[in-house]
Amino acid sequence: MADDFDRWLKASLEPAERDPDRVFAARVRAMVVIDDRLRAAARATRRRLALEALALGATAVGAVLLARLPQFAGAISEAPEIAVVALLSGFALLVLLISRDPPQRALARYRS
Amino acid sequence: MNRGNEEDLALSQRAARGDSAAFAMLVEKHERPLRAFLARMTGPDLADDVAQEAFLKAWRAAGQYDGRARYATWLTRIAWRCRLDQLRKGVREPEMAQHQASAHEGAEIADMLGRLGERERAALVLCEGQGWTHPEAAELLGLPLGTLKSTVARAKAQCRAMWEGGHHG
Repeated sequence: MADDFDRWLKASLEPAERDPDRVFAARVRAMVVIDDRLRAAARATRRRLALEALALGATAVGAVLLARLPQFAGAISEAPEIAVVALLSGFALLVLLISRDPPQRALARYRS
Repeated sequence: MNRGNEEDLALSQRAARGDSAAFAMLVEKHERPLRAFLARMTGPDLADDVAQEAFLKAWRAAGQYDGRARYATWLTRIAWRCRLDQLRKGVREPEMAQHQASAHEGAEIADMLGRLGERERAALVLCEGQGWTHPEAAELLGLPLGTLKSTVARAKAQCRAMWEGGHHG
């Protein structure tokens, strides 16, 4: 049978009766929204990085294959400076393409 | 499945599909007992941090709630893991007696709980204060049922001794 102590203990440990804390619920909801956006931005950044790495790899493989073609190999050995200029131009073009949508801008797009 | 579980399952499934309003309803329904439990474990300030982290994890894992257990049990399990992570990271927390005693109300019970071990405190609060069954609490705390029962009994006996040793004896 419950004695004074049992009743006191139960009453002391029971959560206090009150209305739902809407401020806390709103705080959690805001956290959820931010978390969703950040995770979406992180997913987009990962996808972008993967695509860029793939594009860089494909470009590098293409350049190597081109350089191995007899007509190109001959031209490169006769005028290596042209090959260097072409390589640098290609690299600059890639940098331009990649920097068109930097991660900060992508993140801002997901935040809005 | 009881009606409460069915409602919570429906809300959780909506949350899993990205319905944050449904999840807000779950938060409003379950924040009171969860925060009360965590306040007994960590003190009110850290309790809200752990509760928020637990709700965030519950949101991310909303699709995993299958309605077999009560939503409160499932949620408290997540919060308990957050609490254990917090302990592993060595997060500093105020003394149980201090932070509650300053508020006067509940100072005596806070002092008693502060003298118990982590699992004894959790077992006592859940079984005596929140109406959890012994099997539910045993599963949450990762204890065999018999060990859980003896843990609750030991914690209760310790509290009784303190209570009787005070002005009630």
